[in-house]
Amino acid sequence: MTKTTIEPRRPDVPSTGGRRSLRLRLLGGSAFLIVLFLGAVALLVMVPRMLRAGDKPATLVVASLPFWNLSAGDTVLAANPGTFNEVSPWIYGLARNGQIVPQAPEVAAQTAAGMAQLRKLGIPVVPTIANRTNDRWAYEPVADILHDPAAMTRHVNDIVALVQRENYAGIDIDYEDLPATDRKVFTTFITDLAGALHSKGKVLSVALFAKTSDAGDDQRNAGQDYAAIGAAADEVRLMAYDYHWSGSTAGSVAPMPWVRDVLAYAKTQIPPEKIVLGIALSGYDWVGDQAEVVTWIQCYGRAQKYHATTQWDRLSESPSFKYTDEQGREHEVWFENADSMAFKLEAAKAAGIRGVYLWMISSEDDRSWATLRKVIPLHPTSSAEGTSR
Amino acid sequence: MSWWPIAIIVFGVNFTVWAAIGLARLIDETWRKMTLRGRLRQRGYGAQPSITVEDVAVLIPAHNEELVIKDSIEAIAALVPRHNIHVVSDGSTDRTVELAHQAGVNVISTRTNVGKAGALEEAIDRFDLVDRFRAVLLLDADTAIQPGYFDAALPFFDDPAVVAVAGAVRTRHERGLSLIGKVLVCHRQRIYAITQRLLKYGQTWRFTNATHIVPGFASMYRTSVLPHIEMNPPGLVIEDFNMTFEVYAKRLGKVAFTLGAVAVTQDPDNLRDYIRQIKRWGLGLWQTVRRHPPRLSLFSAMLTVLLLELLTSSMFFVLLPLLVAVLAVPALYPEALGWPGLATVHADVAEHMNLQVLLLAVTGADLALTCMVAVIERKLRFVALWIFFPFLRVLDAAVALYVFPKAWLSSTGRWTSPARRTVLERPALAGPMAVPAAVTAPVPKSVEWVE
Repeated sequence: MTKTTIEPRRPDVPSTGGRRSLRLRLLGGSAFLIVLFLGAVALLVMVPRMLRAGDKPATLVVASLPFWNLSAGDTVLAANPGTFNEVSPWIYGLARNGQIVPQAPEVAAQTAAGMAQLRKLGIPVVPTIANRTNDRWAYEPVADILHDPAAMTRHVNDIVALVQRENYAGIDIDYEDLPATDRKVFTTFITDLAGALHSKGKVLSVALFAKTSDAGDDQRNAGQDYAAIGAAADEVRLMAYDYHWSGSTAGSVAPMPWVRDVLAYAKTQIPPEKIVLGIALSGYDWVGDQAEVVTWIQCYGRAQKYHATTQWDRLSESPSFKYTDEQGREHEVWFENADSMAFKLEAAKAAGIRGVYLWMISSEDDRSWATLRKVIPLHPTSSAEGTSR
Repeated sequence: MSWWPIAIIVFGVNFTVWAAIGLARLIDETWRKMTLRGRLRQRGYGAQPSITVEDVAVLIPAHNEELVIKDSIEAIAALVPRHNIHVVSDGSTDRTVELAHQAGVNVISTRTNVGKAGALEEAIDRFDLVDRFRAVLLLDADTAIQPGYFDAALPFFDDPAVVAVAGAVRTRHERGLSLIGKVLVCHRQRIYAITQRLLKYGQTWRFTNATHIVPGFASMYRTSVLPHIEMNPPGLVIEDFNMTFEVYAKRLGKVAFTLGAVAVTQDPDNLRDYIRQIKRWGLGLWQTVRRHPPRLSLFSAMLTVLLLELLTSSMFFVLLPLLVAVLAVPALYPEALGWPGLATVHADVAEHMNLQVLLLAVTGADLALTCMVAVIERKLRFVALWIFFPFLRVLDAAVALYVFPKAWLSSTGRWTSPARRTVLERPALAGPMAVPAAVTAPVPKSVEWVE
């Protein structure tokens, strides 16, 4: 049956206009299909970006400065204006009675000079209190504070008084190695402290061990309730380093797959706009299962001296080298440089979190700050006080 | 980023919009039933009396259907008068015509082998269905109309604007299927169950009129519109997308749909037939879209969004195995990062997603759909087979994209019978039409071939 025999029975059929009109229709339909296809490709490329654009870009870059080398940190900050918008000098510890004291009273004069220098830079200062007593991590002073409500209140008041007296932007709490049983009281302390600081318009930052599940792999992880602390504090600083450490076998300080897992888990517990990723700048030099901390400049020196070739490990995205010293001992060095830092900065950016902190500034890869500015450029107006509350 | 845009992307823009409208329809119809109690029906919309089964012609195109034709005729004869039943045999070399004669229904054979659409066109003309009947049910020999179909569907024709009523398709679940057969059939039923409820129900509300498919094997058309529909344009591998698009392109009227008018069909139970079927449906869709450039209408808007999502989600599902491989291989064999180029690609991908989240999101969203279907169908077997469905979606996606360029290959010239014959060669396949619907995007989606 052909069309011509049917046509007479269908006088009402709107004319399709013959071949020319059909060709036009096919042309229009073809254009539609091609536009749809290109549109789909564009959507597939754009949507992930648009979703990410919905996240605030990283706006916080914190410089952690060690008390033993404040002036080196001051120099870096002064030489790289607009690269950091918060600075956390690691200067306070706890006395045995729970009082806040300088970590290194013997260098009080240098610390004071360094702090004075720092204030001149106009970057908001959020110093760190660590539970260090007489140059060692100590549990007892914190335990006494956490388990005695009166002592806890006193400690909270002490911190607020310190922040106000010194006109800091806020405080960073770095209380480490608490047992799992302290989970509740530590949360109570942080919540109370946050309330007290907020009432004075000050910021609370808390440094936590990195983990990829609530229980983590150690009881010190179980002692830190990400969700509760994330709800109370303004900044949650994740110590995403020391995956391999001075007491472990040799390996990357912060392998990228682990860093990504840490970020992914943290985001399930803590609002992303409060997460600050810790990036180590130093490394370790192992002999067997024992290692000493080495700065980038030391690594550079040793590689030069022993004619070692630096290898790049593509799984962890970090550099390492091996050498044999004068005593014939085999060394293995894993460290961080501007390249390994770039991976972490990108991961922080991709995760849509608040920002990063650099642990700690003393003698790092001199390409680091250009990399940092490139990956996380700071808007002139973003600052700790401007964005954290 | 707030949660709701992500949720919409995971669930699918089309499903979200049309399911919301479908909910409005459900409330609207429940409310009208409670308040009007059929008064509306009695009063009628127009002067014409309601269409009854006496007014409905049944038209069965058949090609070598001797195994099923007798049973099909007896089954439909229980619902409509026998003299309303018409069989058109196209190129049958078996006893199809003889058996149909014996069953006492109207039978003709096409003069030459013209394919399914050509056979329908010729039969409508030679049986004079347009003048003798007010509606025609197009029925495949392997499709079983369920009791209650006409009670549910015919009242829609009381609205003179309604020109077609789409049947609700179900797949027949036979016993003794192989595992792959079970998976394919359940996958297909899952698609039917979801898309008919989440898309078509909303698309065919009295205030909306924009559905992409009136299945050509289980639906009724008002005969008065048939002369306006070009049923058999050259080059098309399937006819019912085109018949549906013609209704909208020529503004012939509205398409109605009810979940109550059920037709049960047989779907492929082996991978080879399945792939052939979705290739044909996919190609038929792209060919039809190419013949009907968009215009300013709700139908075109619906179609644009639907096809955009179909294409994006197909692209995503085709990329999915690659993404999983790029993330999983280095995690299992770190030395793989030494392979040229992999380290760079891995770093780029890992920057945007991690394996657990990706797999969890895709299988999680898909499992949610499966559970929904298991509840609707009250069958646990859907949940038992959940792990297989994402793989079939990758297959569906790959085929949809594979046949896309073919829309330009076959349709400029006249179609030749061989291409057409395959349609009828495998009667079991000449069934439902599919449009891929979907959920899209960078995260998991649920792309589906709609019916």
